[in-house]
Amino acid sequence: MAGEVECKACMTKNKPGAILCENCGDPLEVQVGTGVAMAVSPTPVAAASGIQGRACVLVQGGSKVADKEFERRMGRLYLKATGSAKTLIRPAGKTDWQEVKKDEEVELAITARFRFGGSEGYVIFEVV
Amino acid sequence: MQFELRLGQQYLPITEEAEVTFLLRLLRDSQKQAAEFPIDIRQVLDRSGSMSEPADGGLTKIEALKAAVKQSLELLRQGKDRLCIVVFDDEMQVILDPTVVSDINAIKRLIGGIDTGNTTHLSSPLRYAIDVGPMKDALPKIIIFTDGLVNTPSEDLEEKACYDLARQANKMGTPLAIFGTGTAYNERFLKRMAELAGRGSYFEHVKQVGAMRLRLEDDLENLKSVQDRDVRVIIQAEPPAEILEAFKYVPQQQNLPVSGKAVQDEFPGLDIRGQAYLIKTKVRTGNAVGDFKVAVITVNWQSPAGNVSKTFDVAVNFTSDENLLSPIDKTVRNTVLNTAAVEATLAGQFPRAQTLFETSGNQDMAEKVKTLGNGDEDKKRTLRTATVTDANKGITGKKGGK
Repeated sequence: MAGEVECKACMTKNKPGAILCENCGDPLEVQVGTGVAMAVSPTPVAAASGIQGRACVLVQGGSKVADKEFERRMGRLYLKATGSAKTLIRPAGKTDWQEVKKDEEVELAITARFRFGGSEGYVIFEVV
Repeated sequence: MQFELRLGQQYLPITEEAEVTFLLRLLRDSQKQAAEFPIDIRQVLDRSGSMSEPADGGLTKIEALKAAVKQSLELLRQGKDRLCIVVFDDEMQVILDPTVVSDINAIKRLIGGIDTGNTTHLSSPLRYAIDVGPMKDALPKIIIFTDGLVNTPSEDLEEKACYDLARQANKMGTPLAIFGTGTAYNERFLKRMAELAGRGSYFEHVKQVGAMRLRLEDDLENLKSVQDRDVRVIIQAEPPAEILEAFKYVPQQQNLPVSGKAVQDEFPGLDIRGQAYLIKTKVRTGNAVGDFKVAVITVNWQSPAGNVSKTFDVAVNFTSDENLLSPIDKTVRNTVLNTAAVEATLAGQFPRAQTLFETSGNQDMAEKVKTLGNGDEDKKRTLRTATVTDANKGITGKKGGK
């Protein structure tokens, strides 16, 4: 199975994401890194109405929401790529990221939930 | 209130089944001041015969306790906070009826008059402390201190009566802070009382009675720092995800029961220490690709402006892109290791606990396990309290107290 982790003590193969061996309870030797805590905060900008589908936006190179411009108009949320940091968007469930060029604006499909955070150096907006 | 979510891994490889562990932290809003709720403290203090035995600093236990209580009174706000003191041996004696504090020196004189008596009967004074009822808008807490077995009229009857009272305290939203000293008291009984009372109740072993001053002062400082109150947290697994284990960490590490597919917790106020939950889930993905919702978190609380409710999702992403795969988050991993180490300590598995603490880099706790784990019963009780209280103290970023 992809990503499974073998316990050095008892050789049990553990599921991806495991931290302790499910058989003997020993700590597994896994790659450890510093993630970024996601400040989870439903905000007014995310509370727009109208289900538009599913999308996910990755804003690369910045760690603050303020690094990008978000605007709510007529109950919809728009992202404008500004500054020097590269801006990528990714439809949910897809692995391909599409670049939003500088000063280009895209509409984000949202309902009422979003989160930001993710791996180091990234701010991720998931819009469901 | 602010929320912070840490996933063990944000991006995982495509797989049939995975483990997803996450850490949810609830923190006070750094932009806001404490709400300045009144505090309603009810103290239930042991004055049985054994309290005349020597304690630390050349004092008897009762003298050390009285000194600690008197010193801690300085933190009460005159004209705002309420205090009630009842002492017990085989009978109870009310030292101070529920009173909004105005003359600290007068209360100190009343405490000074407490002397030791006979055997130990806890249920009547505890019933009194519960029955005095709530003070409007105040944050209540009942503090119990004892050094002995509850043996009057009999241990069985007393334990049953106290368990019933702990359940009553839970219904009334009044948490218990229970302290035991020495090795004569029944640790299992006091722990069980704290579990039944819930809502942030806890039990602590106190090695030196004089240390009660810091414990009492910490409790008061924490209560004074509350911003939001009546907090209720529900973590609901999103099928096919399933919650395997859940823990909370303030005031102490506690294994939370998983009921159905959800975990629920309630506590009276979010203080400077914040709150943290570690949730371990099993996710059957069936080789799904992309975003995968693992759980939904709902938090309700009462802020000075009114009732508030927030709901948000916990989601991970399964990807075939190896460049996106995340390493295990260090904070989540260390919390998992520390949590397992605490459980090993409570089970008396000291070598395993030491190894787990060392692996997480928690050398301080590893050293405590090594030195106290081989000691006498008093040291083992000290170790058990230290692990549940201190092993994960850094999770919320604030230690609390002074």
